[in-house]
Amino acid sequence: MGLLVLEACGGSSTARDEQAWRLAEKAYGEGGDRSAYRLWAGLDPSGPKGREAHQRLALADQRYRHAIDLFRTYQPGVREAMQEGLALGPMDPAHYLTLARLCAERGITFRAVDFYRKYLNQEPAPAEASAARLELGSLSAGQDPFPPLFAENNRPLESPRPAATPIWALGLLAPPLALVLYLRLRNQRRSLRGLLADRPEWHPTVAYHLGCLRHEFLKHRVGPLGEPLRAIARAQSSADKNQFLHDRLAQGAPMRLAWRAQLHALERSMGIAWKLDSVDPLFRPARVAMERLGRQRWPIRQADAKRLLVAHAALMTFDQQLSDLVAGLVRCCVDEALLREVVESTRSEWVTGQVPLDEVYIAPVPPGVEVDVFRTDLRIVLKNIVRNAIQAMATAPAPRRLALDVQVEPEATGEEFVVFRVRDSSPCGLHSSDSKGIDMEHGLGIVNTALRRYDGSLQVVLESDGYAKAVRVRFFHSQRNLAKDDAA
Amino acid sequence: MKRLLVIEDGNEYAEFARLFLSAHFHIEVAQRSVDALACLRGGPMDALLIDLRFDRAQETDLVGDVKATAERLFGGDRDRALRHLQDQQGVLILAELRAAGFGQRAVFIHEFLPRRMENLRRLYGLVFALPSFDSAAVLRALEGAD
Repeated sequence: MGLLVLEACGGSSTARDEQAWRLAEKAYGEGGDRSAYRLWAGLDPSGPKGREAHQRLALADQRYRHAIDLFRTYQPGVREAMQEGLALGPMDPAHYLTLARLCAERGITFRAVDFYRKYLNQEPAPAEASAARLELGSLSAGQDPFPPLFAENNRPLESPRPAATPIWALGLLAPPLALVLYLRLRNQRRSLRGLLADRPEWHPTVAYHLGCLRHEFLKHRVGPLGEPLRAIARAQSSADKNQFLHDRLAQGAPMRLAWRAQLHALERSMGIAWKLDSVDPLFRPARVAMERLGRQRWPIRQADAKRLLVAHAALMTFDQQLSDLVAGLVRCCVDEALLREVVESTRSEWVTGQVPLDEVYIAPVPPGVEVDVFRTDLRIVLKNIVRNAIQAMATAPAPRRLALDVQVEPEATGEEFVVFRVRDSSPCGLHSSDSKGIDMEHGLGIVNTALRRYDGSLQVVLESDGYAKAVRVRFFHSQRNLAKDDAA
Repeated sequence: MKRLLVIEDGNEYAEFARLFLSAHFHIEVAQRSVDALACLRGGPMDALLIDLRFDRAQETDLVGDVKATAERLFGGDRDRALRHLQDQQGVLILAELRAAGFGQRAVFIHEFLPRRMENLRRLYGLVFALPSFDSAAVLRALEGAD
């Protein structure tokens, strides 16, 4: 519309170029104008401003495509690449559909809906619009498990910021109250529990680091202090028990440093800039107890031992709390409905929907099977494998058979593996014996990334009984349903 | 006096045992599977106290083949396989001892899940686990008074 107005007004080409550019830039700067891309793309590239706009659009498009590729392959740097693109110019609306589909596939419903709407607002061709509307309509309402993946403004997204506290509203008479309220709110946002609620993608790493903290520090350093302290408290100690206690308390790395090293590793893994044991109501009392143990002078008298036993008990309670916290981290219940959903969802795609299948068999799943994997990631992994199986069967002779089942395989360690087996009747792909050998163009780059993240593995094996091959995806059976297995 | 074999890659379990269990057991220590087998073959042993994680042990001292484990379980990733073998080494050593015919009570200081505990007992017979270094509880488990 802006361009039409300019045409009607006449004027020199340079002035028109300038004016059109200002209008396009303003539309983009205001952020809400959906036609910004069209305005930019519509600028005459023979003029200096139009040329610049087209160059910037091309550069921005490279960044947007790069961001989408990173997102598609689970790599870091998505936000940064998007921000770089946004700094250069508006995004080609066609990318909204790609993003919407990727988000939908990963169960990021909130974002998917947003992208579908943005795409439809660009008035795409009727066929594409119709498909997008259908896909949008099929999205089930669900809570967005992730923070916004694509920032469309410059608001920093790295760390959750404390909510602004309306100190002014409390009046000048109550500044201490406001300060307490402010700190409490801020610390709630900064607690590990709060952070984990917002960032499920941190769960595997945090579970690992909490396991290390519990094993290295709480079990081996703190745990054995109880016996010699009790002996002193009962006046039943001996020189060697005192020495044992001294070795644990005062020798080697100072207790405070050993504690901080563990916590620092955890904080660094999450990229947070504050100390958890300063702000987190779970960690703070543990730090106080640890410091009480660490600064104890020698020799330890009976009364000291009683006080230290209180600190020891506090740290043992903390250990139990960490165990409970880990128990609440991500895991996925595996059932027949999940397998059915994977097959139906894959079959609803246009390409796989064209392949006639003579038999689809989904075996009953044993009860109580759980894996420490996001349900969305598990769906992506299984969908990719099912998709490949169906596509491989497109060129195979009938009967085309597909089967999914789940088996629990025990290990010599007493642990168990959950094995997802996808069998099909096409021999295509049998050259690969594991995930490393499989053609990455078949979407298995994403599968590999997910497998690495969750300590999973993949194998392709020969099958019989009417099937040519089976892809076996294996994850550890969840050991966290009763929350006791992280601090061996 | 009864004899206890402590199997660990460090010295915490042995120190604990010498201090708090030596009135009831003569303590022997092994830091590798081969040493444990040698101890058991050298004379009668009444019970085993085993650490689970051997993260200070050399790769060559571990029970389990890193390469084979990597290929079988971790898509060829050696680092993950090594970590797995270290984290579960105590049970793998117990498996070796059982395979060699040694069926003594084995005690871990570890909170295994009930399901895993069931698996361990099914695989290795007399296996017990305690959540912490509580000498009275450890003694009960080792002596079979639990």
